[in-house]
Amino acid sequence: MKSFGFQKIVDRQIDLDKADLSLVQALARELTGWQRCIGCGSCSATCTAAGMGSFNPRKVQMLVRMGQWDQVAQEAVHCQLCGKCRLVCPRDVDTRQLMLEFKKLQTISRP
Amino acid sequence: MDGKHIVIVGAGPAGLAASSVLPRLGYRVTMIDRSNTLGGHLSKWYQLFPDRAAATVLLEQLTDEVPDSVSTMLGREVTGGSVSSGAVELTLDHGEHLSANGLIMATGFDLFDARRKEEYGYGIYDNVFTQAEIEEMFRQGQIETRHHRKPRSIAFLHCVGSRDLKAGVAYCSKVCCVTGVKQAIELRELLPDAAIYNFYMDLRMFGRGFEELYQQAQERYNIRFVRGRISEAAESSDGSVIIKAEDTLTSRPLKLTVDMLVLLTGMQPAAGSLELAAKLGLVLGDDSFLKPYGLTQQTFKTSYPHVVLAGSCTGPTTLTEAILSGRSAAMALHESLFKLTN
Ligand SMILES: Cc1cc2nc3c(=O)[nH]c(=O)nc-3n(C[C@H](O)[C@H](O)[C@H](O)COP(=O)(O)OP(=O)(O)OC[C@H]3O[C@@H](n4cnc5c(N)ncnc54)[C@H](O)[C@@H]3O)c2cc1C
Ligand code: SF4
Ligand code: SF4
Ligand code: SF4
Repeated sequence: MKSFGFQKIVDRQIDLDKADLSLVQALARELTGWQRCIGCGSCSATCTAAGMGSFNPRKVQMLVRMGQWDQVAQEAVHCQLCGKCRLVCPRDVDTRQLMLEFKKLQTISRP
Repeated sequence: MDGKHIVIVGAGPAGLAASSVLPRLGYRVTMIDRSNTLGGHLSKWYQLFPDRAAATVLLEQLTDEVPDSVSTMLGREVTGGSVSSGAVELTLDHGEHLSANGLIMATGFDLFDARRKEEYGYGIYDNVFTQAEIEEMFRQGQIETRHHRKPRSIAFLHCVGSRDLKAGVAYCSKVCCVTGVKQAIELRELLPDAAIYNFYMDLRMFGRGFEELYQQAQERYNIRFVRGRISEAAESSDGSVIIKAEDTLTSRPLKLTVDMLVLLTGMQPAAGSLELAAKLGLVLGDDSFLKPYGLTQQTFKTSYPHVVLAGSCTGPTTLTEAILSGRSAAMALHESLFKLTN
């Protein structure tokens, strides 16, 4: 049976023309090191929280660069702050500290 | 010609290439290597990328080109010395001294000690190997696990001790990507049914024929490329190795059990070369390799007109580059010695 009717199409495109990249600059003033990430996935492979759901610290790093703050804030809640990501990163990124910062973003933007 | 004396430290591909040029220009040449064989690392390899040429054939060509007049000292290490205007004094490990008018540093590289990346278990787990050990197995014509079994699955890990700030190494070692692809293909030929994986962060296929080799590995040899760095390895009770990574292209964590894990270890400056450089007053880069005058031009020159650098003592090189730079460094030295006296 074919179903007819309307369907809401969610736009998955990253619109870099509209993305808020000012926050990236603000983040760069607050924290250093995260710019070095090369997306190798070591953090996601070892992450305590990633094993249990869809949380993915590497992807969060990438969303930051694309100014996708809503998604960053939603994701960061899942981090358990265990710090394993830090041990394995070849570019010496303190992902745990980033997540801590993004958890604050959550409380500020969604009271 | 007045028969000026030139010492070449290192009889790897770069040193051999330099030593084939200088006697023909009238120089008296002494070539020293701490190993007992000629050829440096080339003497350890089996088939070369990208065309799988036999390493033994190249080594033979390089050594054949060295004139008989070159005095070769094997099993002798240069441990110290000094450079003054127009002269070089070198000290060898048995306390001997050598005086020369010119010096070519061709001390090459050492492989990164994989034990330093403890999370991969090299030296702890039985079935974790380096690519150098795989070359040796190819030379012996036998690929087997530490328990003398034919492996059914093998994973290569790229960038071990390269591009790793935790290991204190920022640079890329340049040849390990294509070596990993070459070895995967060679393994496939010996093990038609095995599962073969390459875990990489980036595949750097810069040379002529390299990208084509990668494409062949995908299409013709059924090598599985996974874009993700292995975060850790563990040993299971049967001696196989369990690895964890993220498949970053599907954004999912990944677990895999393999019979062999092969670490593609990077290049670092040869042992003792830092101390030797300090004694001779040669400058090191941030990467600890010897630093030439320029990185585009004058890549053989040092601040001394009569001391030049050749091959991988200045950073990761292919054989092609090591051989070319050996010849070029010899010519650069000839030019500056000629200028000094004329
Ligand atoms: C696994 C692997 C596979 C490779 N396969 C290929 C390939 O297929 N094709 C390719 O183009 N390149 C390949 N390469 C790169 C190639 O091995 C190098 O480019 C080449 O060996 C560099 O030559 P070299 O003379 O500069 O240094 P080396 O080969 O390292 O030789 C240096 C020599 O100096 C000697 N020495 C060092 N210090 C002293 C001292 N103080 N006193 C006396 N002697 C000293 C050492 O004993 C050594 O013999 C490969 C590299 C690796 C790691
Ligand atoms: S381990 Fe480091 S470099 Fe790799 S994806 Fe995570 S933060 Fe980026
Ligand atoms: S600190 Fe957070 S992101 Fe890092 S490994 Fe632990 S749970 Fe994952
Ligand atoms: S050549 Fe490839 S494996 Fe070697 S350090 Fe560079 S990126 Fe890593």
